[in-house]
Amino acid sequence: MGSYLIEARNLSKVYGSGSKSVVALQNMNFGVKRGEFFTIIGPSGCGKSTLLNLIAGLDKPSSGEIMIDGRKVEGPNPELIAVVFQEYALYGWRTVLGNVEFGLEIRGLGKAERRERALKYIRLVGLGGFEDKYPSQLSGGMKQRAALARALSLETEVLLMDEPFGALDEQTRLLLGIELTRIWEETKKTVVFVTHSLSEAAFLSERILIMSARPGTCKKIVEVNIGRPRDPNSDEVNRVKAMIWDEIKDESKRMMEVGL
Amino acid sequence: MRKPHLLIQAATFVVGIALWETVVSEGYVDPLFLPAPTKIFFSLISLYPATFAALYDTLLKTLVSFSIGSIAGVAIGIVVGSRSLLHDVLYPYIFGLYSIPRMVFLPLIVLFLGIGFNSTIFYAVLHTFLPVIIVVVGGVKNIDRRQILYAISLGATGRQIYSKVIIPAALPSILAALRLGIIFSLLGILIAEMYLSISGVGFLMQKLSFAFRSADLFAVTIVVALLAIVISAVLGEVSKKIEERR
Amino acid sequence: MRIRIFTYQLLILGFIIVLWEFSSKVVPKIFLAPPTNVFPLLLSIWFDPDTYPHLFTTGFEIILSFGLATASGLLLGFALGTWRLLRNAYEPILLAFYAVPSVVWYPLLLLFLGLDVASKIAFAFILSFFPIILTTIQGVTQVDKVLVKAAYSMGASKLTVFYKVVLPASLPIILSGISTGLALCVTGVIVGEMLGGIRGLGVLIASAATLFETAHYFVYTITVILIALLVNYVSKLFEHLSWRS
Repeated sequence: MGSYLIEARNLSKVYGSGSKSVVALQNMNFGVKRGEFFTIIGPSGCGKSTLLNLIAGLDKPSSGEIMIDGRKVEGPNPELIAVVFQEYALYGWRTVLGNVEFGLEIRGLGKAERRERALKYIRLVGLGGFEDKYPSQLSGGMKQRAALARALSLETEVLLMDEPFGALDEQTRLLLGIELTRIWEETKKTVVFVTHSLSEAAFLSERILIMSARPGTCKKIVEVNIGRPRDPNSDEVNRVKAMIWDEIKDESKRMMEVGL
Repeated sequence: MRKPHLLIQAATFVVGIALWETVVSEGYVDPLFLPAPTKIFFSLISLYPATFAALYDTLLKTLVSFSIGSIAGVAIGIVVGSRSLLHDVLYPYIFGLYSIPRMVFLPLIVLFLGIGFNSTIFYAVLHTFLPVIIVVVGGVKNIDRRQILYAISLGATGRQIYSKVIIPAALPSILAALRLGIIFSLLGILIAEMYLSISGVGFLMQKLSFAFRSADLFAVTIVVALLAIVISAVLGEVSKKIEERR
Repeated sequence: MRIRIFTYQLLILGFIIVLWEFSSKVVPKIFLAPPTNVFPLLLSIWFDPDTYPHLFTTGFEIILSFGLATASGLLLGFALGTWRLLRNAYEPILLAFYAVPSVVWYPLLLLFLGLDVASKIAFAFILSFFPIILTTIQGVTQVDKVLVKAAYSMGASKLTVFYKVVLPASLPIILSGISTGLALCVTGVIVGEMLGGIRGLGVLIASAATLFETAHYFVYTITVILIALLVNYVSKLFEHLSWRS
């Protein structure tokens, strides 16, 4: 309870059973405040995506629970949570407009209303004029914008993003990061952002959860008190990056030794 | 339960046989058409010599047509696959011939070669070498152009490029084509035997069919089918072993 | 460049026809009817109403066997593609049977179903069923899991996921399997008719051959070849239309 919109309590996730079991997450406890930009960072393979799946309701915890707005997470909740995936997950046989409308179709909105809402968010992410193009005709950055528009069109309070810029080049990443901050400030959503990039974490977030190597636990929560708009090359941002790296580098080494 | 799917397979088999036996013994189906499994089992044993002789005959012919067809097919496939003009001109014809019922050419072949060993082999060769060509062409076309360019830059002659780059790179496709070739050879021989009615398994099966000897026919069919499955499985294992060697 | 290729192809075709014409002058007419005999005969046979029952029978066999194979192949293919347990149990059996040259089943079919259309339909069905079901299974299982995950996250039910995600995503592969199946239906019907039948184009081919009516044999053979090529061309076209994604 309290001021947290999303809360993880004693969260654990185990895969497999017996001698072949893998503990992906162990005893995680943390909270995300309403309206904040919250980043989860950790070494490769530490279970960040698993954690996001649990928050999204796409998987069930082995023990512990996740509360959102006071209620336990039992399954996907498209009224409350929208997800953006690293691999875009766009449907190749639908146009951009068709993709953005997908969630609204499932929700049961009427044709005119769907189209209007979809176009609104397509323009918001800067893809105006591309709504009749197919995903194969778009660049990586544009595809991710389309996936973002699809998530935004659901008009949920929470936005979960699983390494959304991971497949893009650095320049696109920076630009999209700035765009994302703008959209977040405009829509006042609660964003949970998973990344492995120190720069993104330092540049985008208010608070950062640093995870340990497998089994993933909460290592530390860092507050980023830099005013916005932020300069990705400023001393303050670099200081935060260094701080994160300090915490993470031992964990990263551990994961590499285990062979990840 | 470790492997539940095996249980389902075994259960399906048992239920199938039980159903069959009941249907026949209760007289739902005329036993002339659907013999009891037990009868089939006995036929298997009594027909053994005839089946064996026919199988030997057929397999021999299959081997001959496969040898000719696969060598011709691989050679033509490599040449056509590597020369773009030849490919663009001939491929539609090759694929066209492959996609039609090639059996329509059998009477024409018989017209020239008479009824007998020659026409059977010729037809089976036709049946074999077309898919082989197509698979080999596919494999050759998929070779990374840069590998060839690199060999040229090292001063390799045409013959060296073929022997040192193209053939090794196309080897997986060639092996796949050979596997296909054996099956198509067998298919071609069987069809020819059924049509020409002189010798072999195809002829035996046609004969039994027209004589309404259903239990015997079932028995022979099962033997041939099992043999085909075994050959296919063995070939699969052999290809896997060869792949691992690389 | 394209014109050059096309010209060579026409030349090859022309060369074959010329060779055909020439060799029938050298070899006695009873063996090879020359094109000059065959083509006029072709026109007269195509417009001969006596041919139509045979055409109709062959067409009927193709359509029925194809319909049955597609319907059952798709249905069972989706079932096996969706439920892993069923797939693990039955796919190996399907693959094993696929390795058997289909013609071995035909004598049994002739025995059970007689010489009329039923045995041909059953035979063509067996031929085309396997590629259809196997490609359907493959199409369903290769759907990118993240596409399914995204749909669930947007609140889709299992049924909606099937209709709106799995089906469109697997369509190109499934269509190629159906295309193959159609070609095999045509082959199966003709082979079946040639190996023993009462009516149909294949029967006409076989009987013309037996009676040494060489010109008629050529006409029927060319007809079958043209039909097969046309059917394949149309289904390839259909396939290309589906490759929008």
